[in-house]
Amino acid sequence: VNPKAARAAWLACGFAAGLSLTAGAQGNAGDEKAPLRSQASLPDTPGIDVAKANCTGCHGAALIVGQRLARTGWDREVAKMERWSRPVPSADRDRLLDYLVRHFGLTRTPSPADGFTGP
Amino acid sequence: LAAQSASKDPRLLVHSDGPLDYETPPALLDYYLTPIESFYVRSHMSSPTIDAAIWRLAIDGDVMTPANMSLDDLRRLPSVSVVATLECAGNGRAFFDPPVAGIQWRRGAVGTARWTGVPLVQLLRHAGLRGTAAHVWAAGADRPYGSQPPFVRNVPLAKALDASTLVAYAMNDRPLPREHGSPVRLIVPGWEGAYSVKWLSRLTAAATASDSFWVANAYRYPARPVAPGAAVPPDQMVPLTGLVVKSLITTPAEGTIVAPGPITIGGFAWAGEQAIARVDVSVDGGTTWSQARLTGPQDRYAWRRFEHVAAIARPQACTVVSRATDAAGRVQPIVPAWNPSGYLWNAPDVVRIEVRA
Repeated sequence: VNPKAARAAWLACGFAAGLSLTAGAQGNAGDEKAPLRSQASLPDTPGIDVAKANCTGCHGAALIVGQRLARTGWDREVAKMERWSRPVPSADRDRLLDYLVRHFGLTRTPSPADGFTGP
Repeated sequence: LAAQSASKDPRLLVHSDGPLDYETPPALLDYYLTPIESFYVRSHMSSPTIDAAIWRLAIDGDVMTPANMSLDDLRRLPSVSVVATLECAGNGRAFFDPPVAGIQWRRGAVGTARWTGVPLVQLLRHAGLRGTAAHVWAAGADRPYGSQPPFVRNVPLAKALDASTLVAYAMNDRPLPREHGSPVRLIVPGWEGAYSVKWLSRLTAAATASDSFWVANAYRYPARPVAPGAAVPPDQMVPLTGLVVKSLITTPAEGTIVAPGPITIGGFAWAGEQAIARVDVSVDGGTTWSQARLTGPQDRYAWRRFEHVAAIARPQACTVVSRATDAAGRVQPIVPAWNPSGYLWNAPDVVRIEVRA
């Protein structure tokens, strides 16, 4: 048995019929039944269009607004999200990082592990 | 029969509303059992709404008789209840310096509930574990954003066979609400919260640990202490398991103004799989300490109440500190070990109050 195929089959079987499989693919940026809503929103400055087009189609804005990361950290987070969705168009990637670092950056000396990918 | 959403206290701190990540202000944690309304919520993906009538739990892998159980099947088996404290591994992440990515939990990603269900060991015995089985993979039906890897966690066999590890369908004697994993979740007492997989859909006995992202990449901790900010190679990281020793002051609340005289300092202390041996309290920033009284229920996997009455005669600003010690001699460190994902923050808890005439 090909272990990769076996694993894929295992995962596919793990989700019962009748459950919708993905949330982001439906453009569900929040949880439609959330008992409480966040007041967080993305600052309306240049770059918000790229953030909206690439980030908040899947998850809410609060997930971004709560972070304080250096550019290397944001680069790692964006790369992680790209693996889980699709690449940010190369023409927009620097603009996205500029926007994230401007509003949600570190205010002190960065270190190699700022923004280490954690769940 | 679709799962009902929990009603949640609007005073909870909403870190994220998609996925749902809610934190409890410590003042709402001043009870042995945390009400569902104020219990923290941690989710990695979108929360599924599962119809309990069509939900099935698959049990397969290294077993003689694979099973596919309904909620009624589970409810017909003898049930047990376990009072257990759940804490997110990232509780306190916001206090690490340098900061790390992830939900910036402060003090309140912790709570205690009475969980009712069937011991996992019973289900594994019914299915007939093969001698090759050394791990149990637990999959949740979380709805991924984009192509997020499915939520699968790995429970080593010894912990899976512990009589207190539950396949649970009730929380504080009520059906699990949607946000807490309805209809059925795993409860792995004493271990960091992500083991207690919500929306449980599949249990697979296996010879090897799962290679899921959530096992192989996430919820891992440096094998040895590292310098703050260090990049740690993946082969020097090991899975998190039990929670560390910790305490939380639930009264008085931060910023409280009190009159001179006696004031009760109270809260909870927990240490994962260990019992709490003592809690010391200071009202002068840790210059002098008093041993608090341990009180209330003593459940093996739940937090323990501590209380101390301090007399503060003169108006002043007070820094109240609590510091727990467990039965294994572990003490809350002054500076918790920095780690790349910001797990297991457990510095002594601090609350500032003012005594005013």
